[in-house]
Amino acid sequence: MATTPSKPQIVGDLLPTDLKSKYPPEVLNLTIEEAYAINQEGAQLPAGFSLQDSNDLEDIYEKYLKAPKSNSPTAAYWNKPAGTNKAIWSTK
Amino acid sequence: MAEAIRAQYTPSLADLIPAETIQILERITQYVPQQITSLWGYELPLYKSEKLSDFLVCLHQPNKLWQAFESDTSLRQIIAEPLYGRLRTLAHRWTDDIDKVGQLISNMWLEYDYETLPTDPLRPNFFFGPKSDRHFLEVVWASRQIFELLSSEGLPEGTYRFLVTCISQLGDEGWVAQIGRMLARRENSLRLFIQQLPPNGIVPYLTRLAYPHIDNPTLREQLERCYELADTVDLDIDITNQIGDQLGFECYFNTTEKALLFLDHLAQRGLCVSEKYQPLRTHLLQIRLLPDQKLLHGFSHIKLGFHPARGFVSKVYLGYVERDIASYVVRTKPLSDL
Repeated sequence: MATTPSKPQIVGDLLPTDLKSKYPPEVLNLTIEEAYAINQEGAQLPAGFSLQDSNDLEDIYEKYLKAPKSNSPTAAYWNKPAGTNKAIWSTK
Repeated sequence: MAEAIRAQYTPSLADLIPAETIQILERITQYVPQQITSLWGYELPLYKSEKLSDFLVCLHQPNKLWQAFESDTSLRQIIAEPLYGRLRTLAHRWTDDIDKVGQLISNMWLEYDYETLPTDPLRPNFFFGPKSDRHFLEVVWASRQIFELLSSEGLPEGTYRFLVTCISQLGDEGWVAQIGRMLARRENSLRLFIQQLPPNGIVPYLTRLAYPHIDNPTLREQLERCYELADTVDLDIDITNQIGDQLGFECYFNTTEKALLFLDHLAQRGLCVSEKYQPLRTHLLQIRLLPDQKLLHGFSHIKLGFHPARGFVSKVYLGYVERDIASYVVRTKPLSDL
């Protein structure tokens, strides 16, 4: 049985709850793939999408990408950073 | 690097990798400074009796890589134009604190296929690992910048959009640890290496990606066995605007004993030929991690490749890692350490 992924599926998933009310459903319900295609590949806007909707989408995209990120050490190939390394044995 | 390659060519490794391959690698790496990598190794097919080996190099120190490019002599031995110039550009961006693409890269891998080593040793396959704290839409954006820089051969329309799908369909635990293009094979797809899917999470994930052969009984049965015998099973997929037919299951083990049991399983199933079984078994039994070693030799994992028309093939990955980063990458405990 397929489990539901928890990563963002629609544009609304990118936003914290208090910001969602600022954007119309047309924008919030776009799939992530559609948002990517519009913002990054110049794909056609969906039917009924207004210029304001387009500006809102761009605004959300920018907010999402500029949100604070945590620092984490670089990871070597086969594992996440050392703090999440699930190997049960270490040479250290 | 040539010195290290030669020094690590032990008798047990010689039963798995031909001397001709080592000679080629020594020749092409003789001017490559060892400091560009703390992690490198071999990929050996277990389904073929011939002694063959791919060669893999991890680059995870951008400043040292850039120093090697600035010297402008050594890396030309292992990377031919036009890729050399393109990779040089990327390496410089990797050292730039304000370059958005560079700052997203955690590491890179160069992989040299054994088919091309004797004739064309200078066109590696290329992978990069995104930093794990980056937003996935950034990762997709950066992937496009990187691969459009490295290759003039474009990818099918919709590939990066499907990359968005591949990442967004992962659960909380899984992540895309490597994104690559098989430049040496001139394949027009991306290869994704997906780590830390939850136990038995591969089938649900492939179902979400609409993998067309998910109900293949051979696939399902072997994957179940992998989950039973391995401690972790990671996933490789090839994508364009959809998922490709070929899959890889990368099996990791906490102990050498478990790895040996898996090797027995492969032999019983005809997935490891007899010419490789005993030499690999002997080699794994001999691996030791001595306290005075700066460069440690370890077994990494075994990969089972699946294609619906051809079934399964198996490969083993053996690596060499400097002690100071070994705990980041070494999972399998040798039989005894001193």
